[in-house]
Amino acid sequence: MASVNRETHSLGLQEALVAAGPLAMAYERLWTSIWTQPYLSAQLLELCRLRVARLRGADAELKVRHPSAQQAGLSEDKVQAVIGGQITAARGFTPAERVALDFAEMHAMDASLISDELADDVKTHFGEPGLVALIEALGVIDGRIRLGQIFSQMPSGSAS
Amino acid sequence: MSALPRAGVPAVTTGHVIRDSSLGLVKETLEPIVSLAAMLFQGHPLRPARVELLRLRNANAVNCVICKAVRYDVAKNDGLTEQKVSSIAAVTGLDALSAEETLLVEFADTYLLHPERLEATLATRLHALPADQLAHMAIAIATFNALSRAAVSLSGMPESFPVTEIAVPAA
Repeated sequence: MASVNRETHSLGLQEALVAAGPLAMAYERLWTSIWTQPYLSAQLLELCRLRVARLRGADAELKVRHPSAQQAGLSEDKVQAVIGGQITAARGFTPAERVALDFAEMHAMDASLISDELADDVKTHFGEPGLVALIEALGVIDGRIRLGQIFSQMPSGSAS
Repeated sequence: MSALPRAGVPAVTTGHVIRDSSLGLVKETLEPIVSLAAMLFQGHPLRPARVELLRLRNANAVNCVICKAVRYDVAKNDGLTEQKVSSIAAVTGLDALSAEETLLVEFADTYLLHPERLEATLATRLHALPADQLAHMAIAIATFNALSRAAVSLSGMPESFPVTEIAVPAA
């Protein structure tokens, strides 16, 4: 009997998608570009990824850290505050980080509920391209979290 | 939701629907998005009409007005009909769809509504698919979802929009 895959997460999703060949490579290029664009730091995006993962109940995501964010000095104190849902009370978050994390939460819940005020706050801190980059990143991050959850429940090995 | 767009567009227009949108403001991600969007409809392993089914199922869930109104010509040429589109838009009652189409809708709905809860029978049916087809389905629904939510997040969406057939934006 086929066993069930476990612990598939957004950072390791390429293994589950490799069969798509060039399409999978194109998807990975987009993933890489999200983390290397100049408007948002990898540390900030990693905090957003963990925030979305927590909302989705994607526990496998919470155990891994994006290498670019770690290399840039990602604060584990901030990570634990995000994972623990203690952002409001925690010290050390900048106003820009708090705005981005609020935006990430709204985007994850229902993008149509994002207010003009919140979008303006993002633009104040990151500029108009930063708002676009954040929206793109959140969509791609959430997509990979969702796919990770689905593939984690798929049987592993050959179907035959 | 505001009716005003929250971000501008590039100063120079190209005639390309993605490059000329607000997404064109982030040059580092633009070409990966353009390339990926074009590749999704190249016809293998998932036929364009099947890819369009995933796109429209997502568009309805996200309630992206423009996404719902667009029909890609390659999908129409591959047999997508407005009757089929109506079936895709239905919340329940997928009787008019083939077994393969129903599987696609069930996969899309799991992604969109409860990715943490993949039903065992659906997992078995998905596992029986060729690996490249399943991967194509996964990348397609994730990409469509990200782009339609980007459109909604950037606002400026009309309240309604007529059904419009267009070509897939070239890479």
